[in-house]
Amino acid sequence: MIPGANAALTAENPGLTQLLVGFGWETIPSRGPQAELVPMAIMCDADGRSLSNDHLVFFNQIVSQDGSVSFVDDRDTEEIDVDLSLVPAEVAKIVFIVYVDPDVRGSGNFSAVRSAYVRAATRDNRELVRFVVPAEDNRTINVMMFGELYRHRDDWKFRALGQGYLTGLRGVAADFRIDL
Amino acid sequence: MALNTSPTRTDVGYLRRRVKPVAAAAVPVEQPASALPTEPRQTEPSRPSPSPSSSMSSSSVPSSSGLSLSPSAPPAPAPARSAAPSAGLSLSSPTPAGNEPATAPVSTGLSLGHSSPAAPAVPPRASAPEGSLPFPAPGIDEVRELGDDDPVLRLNARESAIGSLIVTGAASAVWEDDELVTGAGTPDGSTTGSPVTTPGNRPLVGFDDSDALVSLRHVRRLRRALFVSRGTEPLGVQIFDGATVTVSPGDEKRMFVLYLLRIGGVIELRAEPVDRSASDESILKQFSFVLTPFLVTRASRSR
Repeated sequence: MIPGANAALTAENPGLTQLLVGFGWETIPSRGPQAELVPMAIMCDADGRSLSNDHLVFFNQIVSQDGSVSFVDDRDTEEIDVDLSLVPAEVAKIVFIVYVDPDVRGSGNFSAVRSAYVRAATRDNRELVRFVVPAEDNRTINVMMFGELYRHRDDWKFRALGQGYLTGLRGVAADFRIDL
Repeated sequence: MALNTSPTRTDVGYLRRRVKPVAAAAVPVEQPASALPTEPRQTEPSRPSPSPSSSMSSSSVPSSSGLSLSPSAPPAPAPARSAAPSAGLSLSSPTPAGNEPATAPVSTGLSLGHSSPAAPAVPPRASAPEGSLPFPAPGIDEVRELGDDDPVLRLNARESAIGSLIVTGAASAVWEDDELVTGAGTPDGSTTGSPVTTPGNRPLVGFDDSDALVSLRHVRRLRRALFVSRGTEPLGVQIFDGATVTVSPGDEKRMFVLYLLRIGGVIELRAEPVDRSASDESILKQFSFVLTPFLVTRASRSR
């Protein structure tokens, strides 16, 4: 996929309800502080705003029905499950961002990131779409929108984005009306 | 005061983070909740926690003015009792158990030395299980100063996980990760015990200039931490969104230390009163911190 392209997920895969959204990247090794990337999903209404501060999913705000899922490892590819059949009607889209953790000791940016991608697959890991984020001059980018799931009539589509933020999580918080 | 009583959300179960299978060795072992017997007053949020230093005698511990980061030394009880006051945080080996507090060595700083062989072993304790609901506690926006009136506050999951938690005014910091690896440091860069470094090549807890920092990206690796102020500047805390809270300096006899606990995915900050003249090692002992000896490894030789 290229930035801006979309793919029909449910229309081309009848019966698809459970999605695996995977993220991956490589960072150039450094002996000093390194940029640490964190995926986050933001559930948005029709206006593109987060439904609430709690409608975020990331490593420390894991929502599951039994509340027992816990963060285990941060060195591997991150994955987020989406059960499309359970998404409330008021959720119009789910945006997947990856941010560089804003540690005060030199948080870094996407310039050291290579081979970043997001992909959507079935629960049995049959890949449906993959978007490789273009390797551009990302020295000023500290948050990147990788892609989004959005409703299209009665179906769900996936759109590749690849759009960066220069304003970090504060810019994300302002755009999506969330408190971070 | 409004309390944060938000229950665990169960209405967005359609979206969740998948936990990838990892090697068994990399998975933190969670102990049963019953293994949490001695956490200081986790169930008494509405009143100031009793001082864990109640067993200490302030008159028995002469004062010093700073931190001593001397390397470990063999226990030397007799000279220590008559030694002049320390000028710094003492990171030397503490005296054998039983010598303190009545005959504690002179120091007003937090003694971050290696535990003595006679020190009783601290049984492993686990963090609260994920999903458990702790007692209600105010958020950081509802408390201006942690102290007698407001001894505890709790950050939410986002505040607990983004950026750095900055502690100003700390003369020393002690940390314990989820595998009970424990260490301590001071603003001059001296450390004792074992450091805990994150994959981002930053200390899990450490000093950057005069500020103590907690790497919140890896908050799940942190079990608890303790920050002690010895100067005139009170302890202060700042998080990513700019919210701040200070810690009461206490009075002539008592001072407050800042105790940080991770409960599941959230951080709880507590002002714990201790005797102002408490020695460094006694504070560590009160909070059951046992510094982990740091083993420097080297590559194996091959011929």
